[in-house]
Amino acid sequence: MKTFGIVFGHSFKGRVRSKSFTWMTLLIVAAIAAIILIPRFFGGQALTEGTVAVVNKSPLPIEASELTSTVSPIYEWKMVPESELAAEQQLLQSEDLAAIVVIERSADAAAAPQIALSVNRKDDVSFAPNLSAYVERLNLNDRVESLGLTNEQAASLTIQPSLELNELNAGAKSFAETYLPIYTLLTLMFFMIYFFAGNVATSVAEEKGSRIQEILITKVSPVQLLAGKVVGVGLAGILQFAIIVGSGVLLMTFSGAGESLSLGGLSVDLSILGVQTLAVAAAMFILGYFFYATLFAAAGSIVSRSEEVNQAILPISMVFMVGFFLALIALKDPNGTLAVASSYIPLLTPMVLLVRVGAGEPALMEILLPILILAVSTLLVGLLSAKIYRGGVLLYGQKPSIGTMLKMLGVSNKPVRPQAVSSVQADKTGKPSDAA
Amino acid sequence: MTLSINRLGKQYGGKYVVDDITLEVKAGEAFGLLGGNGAGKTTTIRSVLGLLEYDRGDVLWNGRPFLANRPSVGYLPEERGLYPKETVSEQLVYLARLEGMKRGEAQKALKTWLERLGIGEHENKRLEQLSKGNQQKVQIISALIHNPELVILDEPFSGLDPVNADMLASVVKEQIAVGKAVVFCSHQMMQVEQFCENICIMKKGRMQLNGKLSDIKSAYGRNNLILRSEADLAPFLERKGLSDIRRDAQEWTIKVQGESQAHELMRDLGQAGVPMLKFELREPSLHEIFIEKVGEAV
Repeated sequence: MKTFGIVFGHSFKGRVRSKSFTWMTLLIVAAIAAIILIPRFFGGQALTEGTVAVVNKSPLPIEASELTSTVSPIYEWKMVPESELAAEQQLLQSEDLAAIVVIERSADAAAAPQIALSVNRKDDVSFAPNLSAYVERLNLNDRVESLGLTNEQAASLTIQPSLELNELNAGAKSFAETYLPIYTLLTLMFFMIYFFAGNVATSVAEEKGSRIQEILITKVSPVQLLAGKVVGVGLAGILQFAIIVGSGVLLMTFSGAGESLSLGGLSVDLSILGVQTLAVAAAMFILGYFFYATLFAAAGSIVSRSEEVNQAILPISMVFMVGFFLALIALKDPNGTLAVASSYIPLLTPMVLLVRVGAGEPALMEILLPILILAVSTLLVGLLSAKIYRGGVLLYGQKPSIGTMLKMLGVSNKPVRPQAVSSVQADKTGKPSDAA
Repeated sequence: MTLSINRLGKQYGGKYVVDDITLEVKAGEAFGLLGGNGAGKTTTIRSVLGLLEYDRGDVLWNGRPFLANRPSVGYLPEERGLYPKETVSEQLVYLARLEGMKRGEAQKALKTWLERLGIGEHENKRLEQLSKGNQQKVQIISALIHNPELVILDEPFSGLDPVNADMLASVVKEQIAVGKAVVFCSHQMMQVEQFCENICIMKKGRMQLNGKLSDIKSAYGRNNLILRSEADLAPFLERKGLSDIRRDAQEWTIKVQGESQAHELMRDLGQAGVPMLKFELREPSLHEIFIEKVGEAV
């Protein structure tokens, strides 16, 4: 246990002090800062759909703030005098404006108001019904006033229907609300696991390539060496994750962008995810990392040089990527057969289950069982990887065949260990080729 | 403290690449494990250390199974390897701590060793910034810093210049003097002769010769006659019917059957009035024994 701690400390420190760690952290924090702060600097509301110029030729009391609150919050509304209409039309043509609204009505309260809406894109007419209703309400108020009715009469005319919303499936998740947060979490998890597990593989291959492995194995058991490395690099990953998320939260808090950040009308608000999703996400992060890091370590241990690592981990990376794409499908249909079935396959569980819990409503057993399967598989994969690692780290030259790998795993009854490659050469030349 | 290897065998695909190795290394002595390239020295060492699993025989430490009763080992592998990107002190302290040293102890020992080998100023440099010879010294420190009971040095002198080789030789002698059991793998006979009381010569995975170096040599007898003279001895030696003659710049080395033949030759030389500068009867060198046993150039 003590040597595990020393190996762990060495891996953790080595990772945190590496240049790639520093630069990657700085780069991501800078990118987050740019996304949050740049719209602020330009004085605009963060991430709105554009500006709508409103020319009010009618006597109706149209106000920009009401347009925002009752018509559409995702556009910036500005009131423009009639004289500037031509200039605004120029802006619309050059796409610096989303739309122009001209509202006309004669002074006669009985006349119907006319709304002229000019847009560039068809998408930008989405607020038209709200706008129409808003103008109609103002117009009605105006007409009621002009008729000189008593308060009661006026109230009875302008009375609004009461709307009571009854959600039968209370707590059901809306696609618009969950899509972006889950997608963000999934992507983040994908890259973090890939990056850090890949790092474990590189580190294993480097130790093998520099031949220090031969000394280490006389001091530490392969299981402890592997575990120390995986946990050390993993904790460095969690630290990096915490730095990135922490600085993101700080930036959002201090810039006041916390509530209004949205992309394409979909809000990025991790708080809607709920405790269950976040707990599952944390479990998937950790188990997924261990599962893939130990697999990657085994792959890293069978190559002779760190340059060959990517080639060795390719098959596993492919499966990992398949998991990512399946998770994207599951995001649209979290309760579909494909999503449910693939959430039970440990190679795919980390990503698919995260999405199923985040976007759908799986039963508790449907969450716990895949986690249990993944945890048990992680343990098994860890032990098997340690065996391959133990055999692989002293094996130089050509890559071991599947047969050799099986022998390392103890599947074959005749134990053949490292340097089986040498024996092949030894048979040909009549003497062992490993240097004595 | 004794390392005993009994009838050790290691096979690959049914073929024993190392077999029937039996030897014993005691505390306070250096054991020379000799052999040509591919003789099985490294395979033997790796089997002892548990890097490879052997297929028959036993390895014992103080009479108990080695791996279950592992002493602290200082291992200098033939293939050198450390962390090129880490500083000298970082990696040596790390390796020492893995052997159970406290950080403070390790740092203190590190300082002493760096000074001892004359590379104190490189303590905080990355390994890759050091010359090859200095990297080799760091590697040697990595094997000795934790004060191991058993020291296994595989070709420790390769890559060192004569000055540094002498420095290492004094370090090795010191390790023997303080009671370490030292296993010395080499095909540089000069160094082996300098340190090792007991040797084993391996060839194709088998032991060719095993025992006390002085016994082995005396068994061969003093059959090397070395002559030095300013005159040309060739015609005289030919007349005597001696065929196994080697001549280098200054001396003749003649294989004789025994001491009496040598004495007779000396008398004849005197009678013939050949002016002699040197007349010496010697045991064969380890180099010669090695060549004879292994039968191929090293």
